[in-house]
Amino acid sequence: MIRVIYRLQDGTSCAIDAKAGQSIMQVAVERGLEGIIGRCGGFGQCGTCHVYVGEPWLNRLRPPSPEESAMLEGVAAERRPNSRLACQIELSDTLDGLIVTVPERQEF
Amino acid sequence: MTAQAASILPVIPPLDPSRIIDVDIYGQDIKADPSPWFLQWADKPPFYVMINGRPNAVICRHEQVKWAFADYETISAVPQPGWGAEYLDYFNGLPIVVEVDPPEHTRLRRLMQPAFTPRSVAQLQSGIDALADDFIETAANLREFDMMTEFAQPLVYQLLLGKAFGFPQQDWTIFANLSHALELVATVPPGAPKPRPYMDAFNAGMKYCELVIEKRRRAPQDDLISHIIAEHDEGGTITTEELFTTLIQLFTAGLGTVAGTLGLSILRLCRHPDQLKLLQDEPSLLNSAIEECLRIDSIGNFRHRYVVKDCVVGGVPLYRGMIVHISMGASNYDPEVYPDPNRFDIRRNPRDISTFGHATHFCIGNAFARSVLRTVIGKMVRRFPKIRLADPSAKIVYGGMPTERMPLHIRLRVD
Repeated sequence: MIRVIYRLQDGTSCAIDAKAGQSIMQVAVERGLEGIIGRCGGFGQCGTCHVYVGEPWLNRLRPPSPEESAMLEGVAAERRPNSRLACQIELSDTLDGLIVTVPERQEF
Repeated sequence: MTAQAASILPVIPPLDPSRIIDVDIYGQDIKADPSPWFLQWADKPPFYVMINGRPNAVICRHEQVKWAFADYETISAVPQPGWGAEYLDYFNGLPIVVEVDPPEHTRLRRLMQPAFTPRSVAQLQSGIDALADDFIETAANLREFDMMTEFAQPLVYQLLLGKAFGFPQQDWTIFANLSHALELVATVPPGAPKPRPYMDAFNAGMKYCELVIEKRRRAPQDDLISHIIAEHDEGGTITTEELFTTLIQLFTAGLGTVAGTLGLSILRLCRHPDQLKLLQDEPSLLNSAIEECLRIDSIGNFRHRYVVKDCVVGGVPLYRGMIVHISMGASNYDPEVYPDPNRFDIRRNPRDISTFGHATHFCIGNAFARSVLRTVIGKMVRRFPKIRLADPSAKIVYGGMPTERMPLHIRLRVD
């Protein structure tokens, strides 16, 4: 199992142990976490699963595709260097302990 | 059908007759109120219907609907000539984004996507607010009005063409004509040419787009069309056909659907005065209420696809050569996902609804639609505490595309 820690908008944290191969958007949505919507179901088509990825995990991720990058330009919250779409982050052992912060909004 | 077409048409093996249901999936009854059928179908495996002499499949369970939209190597969006879906082929063979699979789809989608991110949609909010306020004032003065022809349709029409596309008013009829002409396609028998008004409307639209490209290239603006042209131009010059296709897709996808959903939502609230009152008393329930309206009244009952590989879904075989109708509407009534699905509950806040589809072709305009619905419905119920149907016993007639539930007229009173 791989531990993912979501820092939520209300200041609390939620740690979830999940299986490899799931995206961290799927994990969040299955748990019913507030702040990650993922309307399109995980296909990078909606921009509503935006998260800020903590160091040092950011560099362990595959770089964003041109499609993901274009979508990140249009997310509702501020785009930062550590912005990613949660649906494009697939869990593996190298991400054990991953910390992501949920932004203050996914839509206007 | 030509001999050539007949020879490449896959042969479908004999089907289990107990799985063939005798139902007109495009009938007025199922358009008006599909719930009796959806309640029956939403917890069952796929079934077959005969359409124009060919067996088609219908998929209804939420999980199976999600899979069907996602597995494009088995269930493809690419039209297969001769398989029997010509009456649903609206776009006259243009390279349209809804009718391609990845990887071609990825490129076409990316060209439009920047105009539909959450941030881009937010830029339209002031336009949505202004139009909503205008129409609400008009409605207040009329006191009784038709929600469709005097409110929702003109509002969305002006919003798309005036604010989103930024076209001058004198040019709007070109798109209105095209939108009406598309409905004619449903009446065309397989193999027959498209009707004259349809071809005229298409040609006028193409000509217009040629001029638009020239103008926007010479003087780009910070708007949707300039963005689309710029996206195309990064990878190579946009053609008239590509811009026309993109605009037609966006316009036809957005016009009837958003207007129709405004009508369906107001109708549902007026028919459930307890829920209407709850929304008026607790405005913070607006977003949840809109999601519930979208769930219980999906404007699209079905969306068609092409089974390109034999497969088994819920124990039911689907064969290469079949048209499959994926039911977004029924999926929203799956009791495993939405308990007591026929109950309209604005506190439910349903997640993962199928109204906008799923996966690759998930509706690019969903955030736009949600913004319009939230803004307009929110303002209407607040401004008109006594909003109600002018005649609650009046029968509402439904039109639009065969797969759609378009209420044609809804008379409301607000005084």
